[in-house]
Amino acid sequence: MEVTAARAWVRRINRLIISLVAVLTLSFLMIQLIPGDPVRTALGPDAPQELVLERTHQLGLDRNIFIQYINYWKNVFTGNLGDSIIYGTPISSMLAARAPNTLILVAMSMVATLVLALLGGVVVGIVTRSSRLTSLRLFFNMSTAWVGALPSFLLAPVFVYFFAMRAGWFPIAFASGYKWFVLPLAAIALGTIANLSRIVRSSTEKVLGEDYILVARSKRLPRRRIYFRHALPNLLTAALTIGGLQVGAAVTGTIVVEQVFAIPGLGQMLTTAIVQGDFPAAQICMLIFATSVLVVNLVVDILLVFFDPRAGREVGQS
Amino acid sequence: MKMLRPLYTTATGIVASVMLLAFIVLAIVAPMVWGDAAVARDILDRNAPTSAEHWFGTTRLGQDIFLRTLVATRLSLVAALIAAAIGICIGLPVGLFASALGPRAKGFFTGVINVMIAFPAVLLALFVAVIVGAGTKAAVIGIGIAMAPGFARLAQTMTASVAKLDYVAAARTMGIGTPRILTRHILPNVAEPLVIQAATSVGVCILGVATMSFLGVGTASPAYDWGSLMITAQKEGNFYPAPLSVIGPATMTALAGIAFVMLGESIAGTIQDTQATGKVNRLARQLRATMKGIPQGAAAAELAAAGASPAASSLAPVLEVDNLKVAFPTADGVVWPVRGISLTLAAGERIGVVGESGSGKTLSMLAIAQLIDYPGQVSADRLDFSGTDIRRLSPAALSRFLGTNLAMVFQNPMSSLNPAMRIGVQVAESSRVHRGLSASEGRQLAIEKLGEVGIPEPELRLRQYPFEFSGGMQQRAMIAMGLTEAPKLIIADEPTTALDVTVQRQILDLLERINAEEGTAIVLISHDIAVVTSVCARVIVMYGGLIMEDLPTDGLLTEAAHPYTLALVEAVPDTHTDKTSPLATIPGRPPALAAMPPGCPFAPRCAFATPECEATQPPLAPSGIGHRVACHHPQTRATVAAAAVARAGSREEVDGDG
Repeated sequence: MEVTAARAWVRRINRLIISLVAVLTLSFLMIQLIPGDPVRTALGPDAPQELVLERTHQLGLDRNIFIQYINYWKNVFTGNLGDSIIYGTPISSMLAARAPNTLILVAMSMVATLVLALLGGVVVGIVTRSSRLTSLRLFFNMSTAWVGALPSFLLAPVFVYFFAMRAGWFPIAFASGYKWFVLPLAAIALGTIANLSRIVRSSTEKVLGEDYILVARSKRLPRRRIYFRHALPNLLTAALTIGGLQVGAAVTGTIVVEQVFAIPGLGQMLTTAIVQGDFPAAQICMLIFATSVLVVNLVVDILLVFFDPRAGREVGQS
Repeated sequence: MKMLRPLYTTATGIVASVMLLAFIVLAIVAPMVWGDAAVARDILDRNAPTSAEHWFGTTRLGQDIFLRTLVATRLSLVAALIAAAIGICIGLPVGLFASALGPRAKGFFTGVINVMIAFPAVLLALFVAVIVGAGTKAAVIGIGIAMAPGFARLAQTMTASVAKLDYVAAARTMGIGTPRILTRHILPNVAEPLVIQAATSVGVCILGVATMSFLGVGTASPAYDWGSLMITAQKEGNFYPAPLSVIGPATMTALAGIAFVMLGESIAGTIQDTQATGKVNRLARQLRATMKGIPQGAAAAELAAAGASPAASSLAPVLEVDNLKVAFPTADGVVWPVRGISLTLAAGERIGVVGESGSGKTLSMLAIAQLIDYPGQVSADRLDFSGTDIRRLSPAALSRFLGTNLAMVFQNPMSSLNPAMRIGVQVAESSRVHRGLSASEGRQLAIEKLGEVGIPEPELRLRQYPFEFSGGMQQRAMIAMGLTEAPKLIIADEPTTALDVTVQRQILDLLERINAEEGTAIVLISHDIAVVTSVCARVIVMYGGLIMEDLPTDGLLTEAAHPYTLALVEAVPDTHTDKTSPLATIPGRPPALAAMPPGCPFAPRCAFATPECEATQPPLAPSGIGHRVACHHPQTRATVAAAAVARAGSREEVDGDG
């Protein structure tokens, strides 16, 4: 078993490395694919030719594409990310001011999603198992389906209206302190919690109907032990797989709520950069988002090997 | 179109269709009717708050935002439809192409698809927007491309599942060309999942395109869709005087997205029929009230009065059961899979319970073990285990009592062992819980018991997981798990059915050995009378939730009196069976649970049935030593054979005449 698990981890880390190389290459190619002269597009038709040439040279865009590619790798790993075309300021200092807000929102919403959805889904799954409390199950399924379908760009302004404008409990937009954080987090995580908890509930019900749970009951184990020791590890597989996919929704939600709450974050930096044609900035934001999605999925995969001893073997077979 | 039936027959389908129809009508009509009004400026009424005239307020130029929201329906829907179409047009061919690749390339491709599906659509769309620049085009192409991996996977899984179908293989061997197989055999089969995913992804595209516009990288002035209305209202400060200027278009987007997702779900039929389960719960409550018998865990005072101590007596019979019934409420009413069985099992006895599936043999044993789960209900006039009425025990006492005295082995060892726990932990678990053994004591016990059931190298095997065991070894581990507390009784439910024939014998020998060495009583449930007779001293034949006959195995050939038992005996081939004549079978089928006949359940299939049999169920009455039979017209092998000859003769006569 130890050997299979180790092999499974090596396999997953290999996959992560390949994916990261692909993401790095694609984000590099992104700029090459822009039709016309991207620097000219960014600076506008009125910019003097000298300035365009100077920026082009500064960005190294006048060199051989292979040298550019090698330099891109070098720069990413040394943290020398270059300057914004529009502002001329170092991208690394722009990131330093913005990345923490975004990463905190994404990380917190992932944590909130996994913890609350697991807790809620398992509890509702236990009390509604084998057709008990059908009306609760119906209500739970309907409400989570509806809430899960509500986009952050609807939830965020609704929260602002009720809890900031009317009740005055939270600031309307980004502010100092920790209170600004509550409404954006709720707007991001409510949907992912709803979606994940619905899946956790149904897989809880499914796992509780498995033969090995009947066996555990025939051994007259305490309920607590049946639920936590016998059922939980088996439903974590499904819950974590789907839970890992929620990072995509969390990233999208974060980009959206940054817009609603005027939070200076990577999402705002990315969209502004796209509109302004500030492609070096867009490139780095893209790279960070993509990398974090990949890394979260890897962490989930590793946790899966930990909880589900078969995971290592399944990969080997496929 | 059978596939679209749910759209007008289910609640979700009707709601989805009505919403969709409303949106489609709005998309067609709104720009024609309000198109001009939505762009008309009113400089005296700029950034107006919500009012009876302007429900969602007005823009910086004094344009009515409510009308703009209605008019924006067309662009929002059309953009989403185009995006979904792009996703289908890229995804399907790519997926089909990939399914034709070799296994290695296919594996790589599947990996790529998996990574891309985990990637948020909006992020992919932003990637496209960097290249083609902000605008409606970027949003539509970007979201469209983001939909492609989902469709590629769909195409791949569908072709993989359809290609395995027999008729596709048949068509291939008949030399039918690939394009023809694709259009005539495969496409009709993938149509439904395709429609479902298409509908769902239009919903996703509506949200995705709106998100792009909302982020300022999609549709921009002078064109407007729901997303751009939201962001414009927010940027121009309309939100505070008129919150609906943002919330209104956002709600429209959400509703349209939900309508399409609901459409897909109603076609897929993922929404359960909850009315039926509501009825089940009502029936379960009624049953619980009406089925007499002492509720589990009676009051402590009563326990003391009865003097019941949960200690197994070695003299008393292991089991004394009288008139045991099991009822299950279903959507079509209550069914009774077990309709009143009575039996006594002496200490150390081996009995077999035989019957076709649905005869109630498994459920009656689960009921004895108090393992019938909700909504099932159990009643009995007597349910004593080793002299203790287990229904009078408190839940804690019952757990300890049955946990140490009764072990169960089930049909499928693979699914009976917990896949996420090490074998050793599972084997020692009972003793650790019920006797409080330490981890190392548990380990020793597991090694000992695994060794006893013939698992080689138990100290290595106990660290393994069930999937690392073969089926036979898994079943041995299950038995070892049951033996840790030296139980009085092992109930083995079809323990060898899922196993290889050669392994079957080993498991049966193991059970016999345990019985001989430990004096453990054994109940062996099986549909296979040959398995039962090879192990058990006594056979109980069940049919239609009742015991038909209860007799010693030795008497099976000479004493059996019930026509059903005799038919079962006759159906077992042995070395003397005439190989030229067809195998003996019992004509007809067992009765359905919901339509149990009032008389003997076997009467409809019985050659000796009379009107009496169809009217009343004969009682299970003693017939000689250790022999009980429930039949109005007991037979013997000789009379059955004679009747068969007579019937064959009369049939030949009829044939001869005709």
